[in-house]
Amino acid sequence: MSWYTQCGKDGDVILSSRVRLARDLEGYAFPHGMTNDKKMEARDRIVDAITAMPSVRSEKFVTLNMDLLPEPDRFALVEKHLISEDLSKGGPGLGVCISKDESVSIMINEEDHIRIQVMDCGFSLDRAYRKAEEIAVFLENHLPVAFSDQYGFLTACPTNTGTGMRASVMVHLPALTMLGRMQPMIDGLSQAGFTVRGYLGEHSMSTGNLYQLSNRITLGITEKNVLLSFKRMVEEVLDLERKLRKELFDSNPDKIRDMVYRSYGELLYARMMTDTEAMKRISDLRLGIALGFFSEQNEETLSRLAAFIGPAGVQKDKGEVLSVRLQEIHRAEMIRRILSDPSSR
Amino acid sequence: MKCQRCKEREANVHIVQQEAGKKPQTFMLCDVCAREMGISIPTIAVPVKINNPFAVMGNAFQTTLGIGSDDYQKKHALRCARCNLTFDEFRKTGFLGCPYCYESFGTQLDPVFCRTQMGKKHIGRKKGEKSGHIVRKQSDNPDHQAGEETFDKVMIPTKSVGEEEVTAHPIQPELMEMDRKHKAMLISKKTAELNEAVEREDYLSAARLRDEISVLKAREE
Repeated sequence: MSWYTQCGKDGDVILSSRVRLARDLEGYAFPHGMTNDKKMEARDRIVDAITAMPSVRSEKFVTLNMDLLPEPDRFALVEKHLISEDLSKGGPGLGVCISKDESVSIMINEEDHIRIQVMDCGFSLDRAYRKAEEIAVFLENHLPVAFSDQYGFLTACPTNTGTGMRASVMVHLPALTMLGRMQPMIDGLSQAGFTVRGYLGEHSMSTGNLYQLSNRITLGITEKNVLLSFKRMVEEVLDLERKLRKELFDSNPDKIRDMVYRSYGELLYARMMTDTEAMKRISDLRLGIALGFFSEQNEETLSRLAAFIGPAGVQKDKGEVLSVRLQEIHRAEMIRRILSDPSSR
Repeated sequence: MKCQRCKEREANVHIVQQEAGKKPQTFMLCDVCAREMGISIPTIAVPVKINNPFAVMGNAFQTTLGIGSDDYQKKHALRCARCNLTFDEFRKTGFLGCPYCYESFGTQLDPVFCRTQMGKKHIGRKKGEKSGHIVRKQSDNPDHQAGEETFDKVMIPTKSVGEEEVTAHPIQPELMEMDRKHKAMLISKKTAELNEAVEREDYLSAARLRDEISVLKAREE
């Protein structure tokens, strides 16, 4: 089972945690201003350093060059949150090193030369940070990483300079969304130095009541203080969402039960389904599990479902490029298959 | 009259700048440029969403030294000595050109850091060091406001409460399949390059490619 289909600590609200560290190399322009030859040269140096890293367990890395990887593969990596949409556009000198268990991905020549991402299920930011730091320290000692005492780790966009760190969590907030409390919360969090985004990160809309919360401040604060204040904020959101779910259910339990089971019926019997609708139905089932009355499916199966039914996942499963209509038909088929036999793909 | 900054739109904002002991300077701007420079226009109630804080730097450098004056900008454009990026180009994209740009544009970046970050001095982990070994005090950061809660005594725990032991996640077969296909493509691409190199009698490149292919093949096994 992969990290993204497991249910971790506080998994009723927090689906996954991620820590990203941005690093750049001295002696090169930042990626957006580099020639293709320079990008390839930098990529080779970075890949050599990563493959030289002493690895334990299943953390050995697979290296994929974006200029060679077919488009469906690149999109499938985006849907698994292993690479960003920007990197998936491909091009010479762009690449990614992914640990064989898919818990670590190191993007090369995206916005920065190096972007280390460590992901884990549930609320486990400390664990993700420790792993990311371990990799960063190794690379900092084996590559000419750009650093100044004044500004810390120097990155292409000055909004990342300093620690170069973004800690984020993927949260499921159906009660806050249904009760219209998201917008005021987004405004409040943004004033407090945090960012709220949609399911697939930057520029994306929220689907299935999933949001990505992350820190914004990177300069003038230590990594541990970022983690501490971020964790406190996430805990507040977590408590509020749990409280509102209970209130929502207590105010009209029949309505909520009906909503959840209707959604289950649609997932089981629909013959065509868009990914947005599927994510919405999955969100309802997740709510039913969290409220304790829905036990026909478990959180792991739903995470597995959510990870594979995006446009790229559906086409990969079918093994061919499909029109939107055929994708919807095949998606409905996949959903029925996974729900009836969770171990299948 | 056209706006003195963009020289395109009609000017509709009149700004008078008065410094002690100097003659007042007047500028005519359009409302778009005025807003971009951080000058608030109270009669317009449209909220302006700012994504790139560096694009709206109404810094003293520009306001006091001739808005939109092409001659001035040509002569004195701030430029990074290493990568040649001008400060204006940076403001348009939000991206710096190279690590040295931080030194070149430090004076211009600092006020924005003070506004959008917690000061302008890095106090986090240093390059190559592990965190948790050095406890720095918040007072090391001259920009940090006094009286804020500090967590300095708290370390990043080696194991958090409720955290399970790190269990090894299994190897993902789908990724391994992607890797196998990718490696095959890389080998055939390099073999084609090797043949081309042999044909044009470039034996240095040929030898390098041959070594790279054998490394790839060894990794495959």
